[in-house]
Amino acid sequence: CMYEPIHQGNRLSAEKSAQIFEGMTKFKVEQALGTPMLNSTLHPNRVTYYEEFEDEESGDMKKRGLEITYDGALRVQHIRRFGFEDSE
Amino acid sequence: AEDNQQTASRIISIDVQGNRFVEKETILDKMTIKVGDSLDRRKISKNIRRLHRTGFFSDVRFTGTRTAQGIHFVCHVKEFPLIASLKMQGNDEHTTKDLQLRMKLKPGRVFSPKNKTADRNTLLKGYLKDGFYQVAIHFITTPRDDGRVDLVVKIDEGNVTRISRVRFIGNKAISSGVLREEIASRQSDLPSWISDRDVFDQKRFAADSQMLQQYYMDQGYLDMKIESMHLAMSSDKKSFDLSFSVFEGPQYTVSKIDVQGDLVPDKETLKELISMKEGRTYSLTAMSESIAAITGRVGDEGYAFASVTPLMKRNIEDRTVSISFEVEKGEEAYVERIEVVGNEKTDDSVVRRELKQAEGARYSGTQVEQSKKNLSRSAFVEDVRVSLDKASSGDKVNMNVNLTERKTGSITGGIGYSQIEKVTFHAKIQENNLFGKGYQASLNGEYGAVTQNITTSLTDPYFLGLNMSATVNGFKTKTDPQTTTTYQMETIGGGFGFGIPITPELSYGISYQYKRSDLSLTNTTISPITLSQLGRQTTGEVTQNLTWDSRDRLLGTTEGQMHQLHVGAAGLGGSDKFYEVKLTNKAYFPIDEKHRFVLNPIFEAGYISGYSNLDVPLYRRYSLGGSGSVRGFDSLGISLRDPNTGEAVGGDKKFNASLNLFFPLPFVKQSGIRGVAFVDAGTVWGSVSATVTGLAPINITEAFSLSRLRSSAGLGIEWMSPVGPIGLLWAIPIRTVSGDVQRNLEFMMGGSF
Amino acid sequence: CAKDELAPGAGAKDEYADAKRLLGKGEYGTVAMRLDKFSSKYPYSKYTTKAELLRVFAAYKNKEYILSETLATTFIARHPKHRNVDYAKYMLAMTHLRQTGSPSTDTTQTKNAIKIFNQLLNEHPNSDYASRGKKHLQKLYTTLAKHELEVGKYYFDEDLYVAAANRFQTVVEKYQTTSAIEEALYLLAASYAEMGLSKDASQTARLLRHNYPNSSWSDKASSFR
Repeated sequence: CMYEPIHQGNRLSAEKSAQIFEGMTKFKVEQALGTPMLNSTLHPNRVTYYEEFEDEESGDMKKRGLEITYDGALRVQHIRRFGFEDSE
Repeated sequence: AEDNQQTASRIISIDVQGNRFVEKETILDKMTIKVGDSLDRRKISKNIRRLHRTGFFSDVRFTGTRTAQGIHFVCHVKEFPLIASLKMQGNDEHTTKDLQLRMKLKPGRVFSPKNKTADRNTLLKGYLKDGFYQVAIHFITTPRDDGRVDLVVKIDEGNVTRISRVRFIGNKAISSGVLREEIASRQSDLPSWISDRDVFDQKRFAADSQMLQQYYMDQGYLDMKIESMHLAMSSDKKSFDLSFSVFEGPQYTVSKIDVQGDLVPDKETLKELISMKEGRTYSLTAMSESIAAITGRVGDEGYAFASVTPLMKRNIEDRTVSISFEVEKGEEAYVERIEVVGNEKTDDSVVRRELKQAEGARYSGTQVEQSKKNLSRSAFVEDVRVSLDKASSGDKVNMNVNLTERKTGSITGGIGYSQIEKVTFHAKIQENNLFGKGYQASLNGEYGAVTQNITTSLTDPYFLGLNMSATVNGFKTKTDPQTTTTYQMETIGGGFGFGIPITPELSYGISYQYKRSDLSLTNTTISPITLSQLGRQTTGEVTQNLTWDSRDRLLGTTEGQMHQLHVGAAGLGGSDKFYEVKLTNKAYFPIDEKHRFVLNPIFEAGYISGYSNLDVPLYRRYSLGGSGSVRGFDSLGISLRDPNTGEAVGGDKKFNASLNLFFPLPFVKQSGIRGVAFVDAGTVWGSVSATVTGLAPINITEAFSLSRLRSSAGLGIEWMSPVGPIGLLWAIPIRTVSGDVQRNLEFMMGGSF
Repeated sequence: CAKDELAPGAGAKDEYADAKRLLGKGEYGTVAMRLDKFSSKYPYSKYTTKAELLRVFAAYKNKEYILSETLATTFIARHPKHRNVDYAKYMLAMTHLRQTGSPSTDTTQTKNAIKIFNQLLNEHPNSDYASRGKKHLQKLYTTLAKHELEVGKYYFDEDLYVAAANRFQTVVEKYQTTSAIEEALYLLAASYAEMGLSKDASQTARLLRHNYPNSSWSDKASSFR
């Protein structure tokens, strides 16, 4: 294991992802997932929780995350999940 | 009248008298009274105070002469004298330069009472700190005609007030003798004249109480308190009597140990980390070690701000205490940015690639520790400090890596002496951080009576950015006949190699070296074995080694171990055909916690043999002797010898072992110098034969036998000088075999022990 | 020496003039050393503060940056309201600037220089040293931007795209006016692409093309449609 791949981004899981629902406040989201590692100012109200790690069994790199868009009152308006389907 | 009375009290001119050094504008600038103001009592006294505050004047008076038009206002000042010259007398303890640096009174400054008292206090404080309680300070001034003064500061220091007795009151369970050993202050007895620990020192006195508490707490006296510390000075101010009165309280044993709160990763792993055991007496050190271990482990799960607090419940009757470690993991922390600072010469990425912790990833205590270890072991870092501070949001931290670079470039030259080589000159140009990219390059030349060689090598520790080092090297050597051998050898060659780390300690290396050597004769009567190897030989050798290395530092190691298995096979190109297996084991066991005394056993064994009926080349056959193998013998001092010519022809099996004890030298506080006492043992055996036309076939065989095991013992000094390790050793052989060549004194440059 | 015996007041003027003459001839080292005793010989003369400023300049020109830094800082602390204090701040900033390294080594001195230049701009907006400072600031910000870029590229090569994206994001947020912005936007888009965030990648690429249509990086970014 000449090169140990580093587990980068926020530590997510299916349970954590399932806790997030529309209408939830940003404060509650950050209590569950922490603050997003990826700081991007493309969209003031949209954040991306991203995680990339080496899958124990297959050994190849897995990418997953949640794109959350908040409304004016900082409540979750839309969630796009990716990478959670097949794993847990 | 009204109007004229008003103008009459108006100031129409202001003059200053009596000022010799202070310029008029400066005085007027300081005053708030200006031409045209009206005179009023309150304003005048305010100005007098302002002028006094400048510290220049011993006396300030205002006078006014009324005239029809208004008042001529005059300010009379009497200046403190200016210092023309300053001399110090009687200060043996502190140099004049040191004292004057801290004093306000300086040539050109004002000799005012304020500065005088300030300097008297600074000087007194300096002397009291070193224990001079009888010091007295006098200021002697001799006025000059131009109003300035020559100042002499006379100091009579008296002598040091020493601690004559240290007493303990109220200590029943632990004797005063034991306690006296534990604290820093010492009674003045014989050995104390070389150290100053018997001189009273405020900071050390405060530290003593902490050390006492720590010692008691380590023996289980949880409730121990220091009730009072009393310091009495004898009437003649010559000595002190120091006394501590202590309340010991009961000695506690640990009844129950538990972990509670945020059990990350789980209760079992955390419990194992606790070094305190149920049933054993309570110990403060074990407690703090356990807390550190738990905090570290929880930190590995990403909780950089975890905190562990021990909750203790005492049971006075059966003198037991139950301890539960309350774990608060706090927020899971992520590292947002890593700032590298202090790398004046080294590229940021060259430092960053040594870091296991990355940006945009969860914080891990072990990765940070591993990063620190990697950096301090790298060639270009002298010292590294890592600190965390808050980043943009609660659960993010920034990591600061503050390193001091090591002088990586070095040009070293040296003159060495050895029996065989006589006077040797060597020069080495080494750069461990070429172009700030971390490449390690070295050019090394040696010129001795017998060997002249030039070697050069270039290593990139991160070849193609991969976690693999690559080295390319070349060499050209020429050896003249030595006293025991009569052939001359010239070799030229080069090669390349790769090093691949498997785990932080385990690494694998593979390299290929191609060498062409020419053996020639210088006089006729030589051993047939040498004769059989004359002419040109080419060796193409592939070597692999598996190394487990956990040493804390590569030079001047104080802890850790190094085990290496080396396998070489020659035959890939080149005429020589042989294979070789070598095993090396080194261990370093620090004895005291400051790692100054280190026990270092070393064990080496080697086996080399030709194949497809070819012999092992002469220069690869094994001989022992000199530093790095069996000291007290000359290089090639221990070998297989041709019975008639006495030439060393070398064996094909070797074994040597040493036991080094490193110890600090008493008077040398400068780091990097340490003494070593050692015992060596080793022998060479095996067989070699050769058939040369016209000469009788010859075979020399020596079986392994303990009676032929040479040994020696001796002393040495090792200095990690800025130009590399320098060593001097003196050794006497204990058991020798006929034909061995001895050498008692050896000086080494560059080689380590 | 003889000068010492002169009536002290008068000496200050001559010694100051003499120091200026030597400076003209470029003997910075000697001036820096000789002016050391000036304030202790003439503690109250009006030339003392002038001499202190002259000494800062001499030490700076003599590349004794530690000395010029200490002298400038002490001058600013002692005479905050002096009419030439903007010159002292300018010299302090220049001292830091002379010690800055390349974008790939320690950037502490670059940050120090920026801090002092900005202080100069805020506190003495219309001093001509302030306008000179603006020119230097632009170059210093570019060094910092290039440093972010370099670290970002290191993480990009290590496939650590979160770290890389954040570094390029810092350039976009803090250093838009520097020349590194185009490459930063391109690499930011590339990092998003590597993370599979294609929407963000194409938006960043559009941002790059929109603001810097004829930059070579824009053509390269066309692949993130």
